[in-house]
Amino acid sequence: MATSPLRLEALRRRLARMEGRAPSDAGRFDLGHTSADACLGGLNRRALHEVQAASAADLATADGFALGLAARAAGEGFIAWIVQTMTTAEAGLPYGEGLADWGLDPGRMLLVRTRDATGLLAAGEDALKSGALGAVVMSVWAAPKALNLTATRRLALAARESGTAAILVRSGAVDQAGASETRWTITSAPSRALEAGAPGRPALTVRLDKNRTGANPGQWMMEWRSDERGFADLAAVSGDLVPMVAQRPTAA
Amino acid sequence: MSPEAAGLGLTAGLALADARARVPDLVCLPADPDGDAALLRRMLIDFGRFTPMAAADGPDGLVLDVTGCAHLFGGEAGLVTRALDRAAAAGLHARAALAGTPQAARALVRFGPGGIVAEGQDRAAVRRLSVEALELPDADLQALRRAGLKTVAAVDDRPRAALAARFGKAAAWRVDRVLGLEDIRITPFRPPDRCVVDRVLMEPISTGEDVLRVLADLMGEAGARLERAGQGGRIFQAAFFRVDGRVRRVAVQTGRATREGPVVLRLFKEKLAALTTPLDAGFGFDQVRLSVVQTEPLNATQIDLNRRPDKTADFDGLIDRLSARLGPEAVLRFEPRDTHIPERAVRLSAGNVSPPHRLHDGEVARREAERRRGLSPSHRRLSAAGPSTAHRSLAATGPSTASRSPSPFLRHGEETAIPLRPLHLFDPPQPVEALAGLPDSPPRRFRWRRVQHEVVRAEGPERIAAEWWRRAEPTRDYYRVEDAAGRRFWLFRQGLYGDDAQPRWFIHGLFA
Repeated sequence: MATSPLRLEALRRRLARMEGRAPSDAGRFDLGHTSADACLGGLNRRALHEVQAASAADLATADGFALGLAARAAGEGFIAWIVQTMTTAEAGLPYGEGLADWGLDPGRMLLVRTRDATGLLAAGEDALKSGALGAVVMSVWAAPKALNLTATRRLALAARESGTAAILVRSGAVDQAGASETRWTITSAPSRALEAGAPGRPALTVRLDKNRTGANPGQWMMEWRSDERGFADLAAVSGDLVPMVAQRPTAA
Repeated sequence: MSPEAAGLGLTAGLALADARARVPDLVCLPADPDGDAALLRRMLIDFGRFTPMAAADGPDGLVLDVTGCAHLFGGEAGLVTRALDRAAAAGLHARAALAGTPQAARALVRFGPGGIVAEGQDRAAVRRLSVEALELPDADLQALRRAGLKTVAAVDDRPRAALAARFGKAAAWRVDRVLGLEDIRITPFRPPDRCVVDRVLMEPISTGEDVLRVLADLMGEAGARLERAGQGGRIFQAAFFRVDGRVRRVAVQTGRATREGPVVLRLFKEKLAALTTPLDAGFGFDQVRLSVVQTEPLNATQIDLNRRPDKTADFDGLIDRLSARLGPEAVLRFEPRDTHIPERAVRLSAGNVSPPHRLHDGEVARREAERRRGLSPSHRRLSAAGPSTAHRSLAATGPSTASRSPSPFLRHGEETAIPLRPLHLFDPPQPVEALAGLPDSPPRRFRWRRVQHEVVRAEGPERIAAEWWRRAEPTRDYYRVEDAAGRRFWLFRQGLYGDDAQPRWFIHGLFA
């Protein structure tokens, strides 16, 4: 009855070695965005990534980017989205049909609502450690005291041990030391219009502020393609009209 | 009737004036039947420590079915002593009798000497009592006495047929029951659960670690018992019996049946840590009981070394732990509903009630099949013809969305890969001030939370009519709009221009 999961995991690995199979988990995931991926070489799945909205009004877009990262990292795995009650009062409640439209399967998602940041961090750590999830998205409101260097370290550690991607979304930009591997700042961007001026695919300006491993910070204009569950360059889609002055990736 | 009062010559039912005449310095208190009932109920709950089969017996008695329980308390004598000690500790004068049937015990304790009747001696013991012990109606008792039948033995010696002919069948049954010739079960105050394990503690415990250690012991026992029965528990309840007679019950729920001790114990740990009124040990708990309130068949599963580990089991475990800590209303799953009203199309349901992802897989397959057959007409048209013509055709056909296929989590912008539903939804929608052309043009600008937004791109209307079987609500025209900064909103106009009521604008969601 009592079987230790660690022991099982070790046995599985031994079997895989004996049969000459490589461990399937590569440990990195990419964005689907060619130039960003070429620059970054993929993101570490066993790490904490911070996504911050350039302003409170960009929070929905930042959530979208974080969910995009989670979808890339989790693949077919479960995703937990942990939000603060305060955030849902301000920005609305996560909506299942919207998630489905975003390319996620709401049936494989878990929504957790906590009253304060402390509860959110504890729930996030528990979710990461469970090993049941592909990715954990945590949306904190403002810059709570509880979210200090130690808290981010704990999250990063939990992510490393379980191999579950941890994505922390902040409602505003903060300049604070953290144990995250990357930090992104997200701004909404005008989309490429469809015929008759309808809003097109979700567009966003993605700025990489910090990257602990390798590539320099940079900035890209991206759009989210929910059918491919990946990011694409806003400017470099051939044959389409670009409504805005094309913004080239620039080194920040 | 306390012995002191009886010693002064007082009896129950005595008139107050007579009582005062006999005892001049008598202290009088008004009767409090509700208080007495509450006290009795508290004692009943506390006496649940001796047996799960406990019931109230009239306004001033308890009856316990202690079949198979006595050995836990040092035999029948030990059990009776313990019960009387507990009653005395609560300030009660109690008498006890233990007999083969509830009626015999009642007759012995109320009309006889009480005490423990050896097995098979019920009839002999009860025969010595007076006929009052039969508790027949007054008229019948009087008739028996007039006939010279003064004791139960005298009644027992007569043929039952004659008794039934004179006093009715009920009286004959009554005699048999009191004599222990016929047995009926008591109806317990709290029906016993499927699997109950109990620990009587020599020393009361009060610290959290001790409580968890006892629970771990009990869970090990309960797990073994469940395993033998091929069952798993969904709801586990721990009852903590305090020395002073209060009982606290704490229950945890799991998403799928389990009998793993550590899993359940972890849930209890979370739950005990998150209780709004913490577990108050007072002078300590001297008994802890773990009952499995709800069970489900659960067969042993073979662990497959070659397969990837089963993540759904871990996932359910995570849901259970978070639900125990944060409450079931905080841990939610998305559940699709068959309606086209946006705020009702997805319900958030408690994660630990049922594992919906398993149901959901079937739904996904159904949806997939429907999609292949091409059953989502309205949006197919919308994407094929481009948004501007779709707008016209949608408006012309009215609430065409009603004909949408009832599949869960429909992806609205499937063909264009453009999300047509927002990531965040406001419920209820928030009012905005909007400026729009008549009759159904998208808004040019709107003001929300004191910020003016200039609309640069817009699509719509997507008309969603109210469901006629609900309260009549105006039709809504939804617009997807984007402002100059690239922020995307989902607005709607409630009502049509030209109707009696002036249409109002709302923001319903935020696109990423």
